[in-house]
Amino acid sequence: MIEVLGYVALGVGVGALSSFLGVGGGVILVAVLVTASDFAQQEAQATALAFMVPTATIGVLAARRHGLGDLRASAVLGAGGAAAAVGGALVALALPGDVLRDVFAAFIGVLGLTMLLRPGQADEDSPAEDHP
Amino acid sequence: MTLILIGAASGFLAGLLGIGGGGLMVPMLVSVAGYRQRHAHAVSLGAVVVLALAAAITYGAADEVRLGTAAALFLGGVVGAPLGALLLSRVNDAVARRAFGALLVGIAAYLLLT
Repeated sequence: MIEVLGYVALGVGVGALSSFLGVGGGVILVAVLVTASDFAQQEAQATALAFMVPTATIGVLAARRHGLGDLRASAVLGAGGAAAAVGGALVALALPGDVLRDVFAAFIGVLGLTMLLRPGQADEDSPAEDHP
Repeated sequence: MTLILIGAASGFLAGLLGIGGGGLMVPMLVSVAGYRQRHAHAVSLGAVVVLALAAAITYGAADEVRLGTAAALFLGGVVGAPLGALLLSRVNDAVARRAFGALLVGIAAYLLLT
């Protein structure tokens, strides 16, 4: 029970941070799960993706209320990316956990440096409620 | 065609690293496809639903998804997102983004060294 409450609390933090900073919840979530809990790298990534499906859906609905978004363009992006997403996941599943962890670390290191050096770049005039 | 390529690059990254892919999609939609920032965010979010679902099903088939944890996180996330939006209107977000960037660099170093 306490563990479940911990994850709910983590969800609050991830939701707030990602809508505040404009970075996807996935980056934060995977980083926290592999650093501070017993999740293996693949498990953390899998669980973050499962978390994102309903969360992003709510974000899309919120954006539509503000007249933002274009479902057709989203569908084209999604169609172009779905097979690649499956491919990426298969590569991740085939890699040893510690190698995947290093790849992930390199990615967030670059992302972190970008945010550190050019903090304003990614979210000028972006509405917070559009990316939970 | 441009959208399909952007989707493919973001999708691969989403599946490989367990992220949404918005961090790549939004800047590309703005710079390559000419979307406005706000609009790009919304369009990217719609694509994230599809990309994350495709990747999550793949991981799920390998029995890696912890559904109970994902559900608990989602419950919290629904509460947290409006809090972040509220913060955004009150706090200097350039400072916050710098701080978060530094934190990510720290986590990256920790993960690489341990």
